[in-house]
Amino acid sequence: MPVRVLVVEDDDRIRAALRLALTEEQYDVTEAAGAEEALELHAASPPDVMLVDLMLGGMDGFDLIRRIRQKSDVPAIVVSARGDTHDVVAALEAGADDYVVKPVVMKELTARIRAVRRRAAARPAPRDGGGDVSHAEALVLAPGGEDGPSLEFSAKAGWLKRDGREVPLTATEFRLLAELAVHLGRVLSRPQLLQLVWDYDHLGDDRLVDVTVRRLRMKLETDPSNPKHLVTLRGRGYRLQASP
Amino acid sequence: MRVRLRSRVALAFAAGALLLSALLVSEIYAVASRYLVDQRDRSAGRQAVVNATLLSTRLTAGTDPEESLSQIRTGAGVDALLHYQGGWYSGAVGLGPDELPEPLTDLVGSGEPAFERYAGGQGAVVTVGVPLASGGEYYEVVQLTTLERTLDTVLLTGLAAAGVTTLLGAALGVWAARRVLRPLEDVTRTAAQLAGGDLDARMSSTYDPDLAPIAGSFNAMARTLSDRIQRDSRFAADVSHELRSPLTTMTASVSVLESRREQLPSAAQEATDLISADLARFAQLLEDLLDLSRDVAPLALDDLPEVPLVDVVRRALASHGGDVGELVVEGDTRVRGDVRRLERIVANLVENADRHGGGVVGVAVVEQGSRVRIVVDDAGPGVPVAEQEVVFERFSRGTPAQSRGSRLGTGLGLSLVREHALAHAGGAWYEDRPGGGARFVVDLPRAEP
Repeated sequence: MPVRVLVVEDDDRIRAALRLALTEEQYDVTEAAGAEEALELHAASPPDVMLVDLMLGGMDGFDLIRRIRQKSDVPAIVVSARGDTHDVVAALEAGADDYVVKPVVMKELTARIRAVRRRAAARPAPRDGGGDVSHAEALVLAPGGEDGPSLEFSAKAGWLKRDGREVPLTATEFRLLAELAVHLGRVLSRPQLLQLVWDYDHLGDDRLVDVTVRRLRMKLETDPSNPKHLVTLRGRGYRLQASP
Repeated sequence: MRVRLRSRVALAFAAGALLLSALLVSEIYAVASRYLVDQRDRSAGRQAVVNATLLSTRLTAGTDPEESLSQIRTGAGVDALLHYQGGWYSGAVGLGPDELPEPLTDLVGSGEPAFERYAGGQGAVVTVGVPLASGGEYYEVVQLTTLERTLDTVLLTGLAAAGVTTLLGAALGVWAARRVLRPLEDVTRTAAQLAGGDLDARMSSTYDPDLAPIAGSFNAMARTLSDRIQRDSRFAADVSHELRSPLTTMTASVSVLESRREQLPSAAQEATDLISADLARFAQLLEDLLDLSRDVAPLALDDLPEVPLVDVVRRALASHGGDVGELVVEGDTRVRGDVRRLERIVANLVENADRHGGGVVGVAVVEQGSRVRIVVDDAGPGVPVAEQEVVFERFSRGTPAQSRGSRLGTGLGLSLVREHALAHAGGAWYEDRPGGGARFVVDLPRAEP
C-alpha cells in the first residue's frame, strides 16, 4: 500500500509540483491549501506523513502542528522557506519531527520521509502489545517514592510510564529515548544521535537534537531545567541515567 | 612633534597658575619687606633718640663718658658708640668709628641726626646717628639679620606656595581636559564599537546643552547607518526567501522530468539536464547569498561550543565524497564555533579545488601554536600572484583556463570561506603549494583547554 502523504502548502504551484514529484515517487498525495483544511483531512483519515509549510494563510504551520499533536503523533516534516534558528526551533518545539528548507531536493525530501516513516514503524503500538510485556522487562529510571514519581520505559512495548500512567511520545521522541536507553549511562554525541535517530549520515542539524531533547525532558523530568535523567555533557552530548 | 591636547591644556593651566602665583608672591614680598624695614628703621631711630637724650643728660651732669655709655640699655643686636670730646667709646667689643660710613659721621658731626642702611661686617645693619646736646655724637648700630631672616622665610614660603599652586594648576588642567575630552572618548569608543559590527552601540545620552547636540547627531548617524545596513541585509535575505518558493516549484517539477528522462526526445533530455544543473547552481547561489547577508557581525566565540575541527573536516569530506587524498591530522584541533559554518568552509574549499584546481590532493588539520589550520591542496596550476587576493572577492570566478566550463560555481565560495573565517576570529589566504598547485589555508583560534 502506498504511503499516504498530506501536503499542507498555500502556494498552489508549489503544492502541485510537490504532488507531481511525490506521486512520481509512488506516494499517495493528499493536498491541503490551509491549516483548517489540513485538520479536517487529518480528522477524516490520518495520513502516514505530513509535509507542512509554516507560512499559511489563516492559522500558521506552528499552530497546525500543535493542534495535530494534541491528538496524534503522525510524523510531521516542516518544509519552509525560512531556515532561521528561531523558526526551526519553534517548529520543532511545536512538535515537528524534522525540518527541510526550500528549495527542497526531492531525493533529500524522500529520504526524510522514509526516515520518519521508519521511526514511526519501528515503534510498537503501545495499546496493542503493551499489556504483554511485564513490567519486569521495562527500564526503571526512577523507582518512585518520596524523591519523585516513578519512571519506567519499555522500548519493546513502546511506552513511557510516569507513576504508572503512560506519557504520550511522538515517534521521534520515542526513538531518541530508545537510543539513549540502549546506551544507558553512556554519552551520545549530537552527530551520533542525528545518525541513530534521524538517519542523517552527515550535515544534520544539531538543533534537531537539542530541541527534541528539550521536548523529551518536559515529559521525563520533574524539573526540566534541572534534569536528573537526561543530562547534558557540555561539548560532548547527552546521556540517559537511572536514579542512583 | 604635536603635543597632545590634554598635555597642552594641562601646560596652559600650569603656566597660568605659575604666572599668577609668582606675581602675587613678589608683590607680597615687596610690600612686606618695605613695611618691615620701615618699621625697624623707625623704632631704631626712636630708641636712639631716647638713649641720646639720656646720655646727654648724664654727660652734662659730668658723669664719665665710659660709665654713662655702660648705663645705656640697648636691645638685642643693637650696639652703641659714643664720640665725645674727641674720644670714641664703644659699648661692644670690636666696634669702632672705622665701622661707620664716613658720610654719616660727617653729617651727624655737622649737627644733623641721620641714619644709613648698609652691609656691615656681619650682614645688613642700619646705623642711627644723633648729635648730643652736651656736645659729641651718639650712634646706634642695629643688626638687621633677624629681619632679613624673616624676609627670607616669607620669600621661601611664597615660592613654595607658588610651586604648589603651579602643580595644582597642572592637575586642574589635566582634570579639566579629561572632563572636556570625555565626550570625545565616548564618541571614539562608540565609533569603534560600530566599526566592530555592534550596530546597536550608541553614545550615552546627556543633559549638558553643550554636549547634547554631539551625542544627538552622532546617535542619529549611527541609527541611520544601522537601519541602512539592516535594511540592505534584510532585503538580500527577503529576496532569497522569496526566490526559494518558485525555486521549490521548479526543482520539484524538474525532478519529475528527470525521472521520466528516458521518455523524452533527446533535445528535451538535454534541455532538462541544463535546467536541472542550473537549478542546483541557483539554489546554491541563494544559500550563499543568504549566508553573506546574514552574518555581518563577528561571533561571540565564548558562547559557542567546542568543536573538534577534525570531525568537522571528516564530515564535510564524507558528504563531498570522491577521492580527497590523505587527511593529515596533527595536535589538538578543537576550536569554538558554529559547526554549520565551519562545515561550509571545508565544503567550499573542496568544491573550489574541484572546480578550479583539478581536484583535492591533500587536506590537513594542524595545530599551530594557539591556532588551528585547515590546509587544502589541489593539483591545479596554482593562482597567479595578481589573482591571489581577487579570488576571495565576491563573484570572482577564476579565468576560463582554470575552470572547467561545465562546472561553474556561484563565485561566492571563497569569499564565504573568508567571511566565515573572519567571523570566527580567523583568516583565510592563498599559498603556492610546494611542488606546484594551489594551497588554501584557513587559520582559526584554537579553543583554550
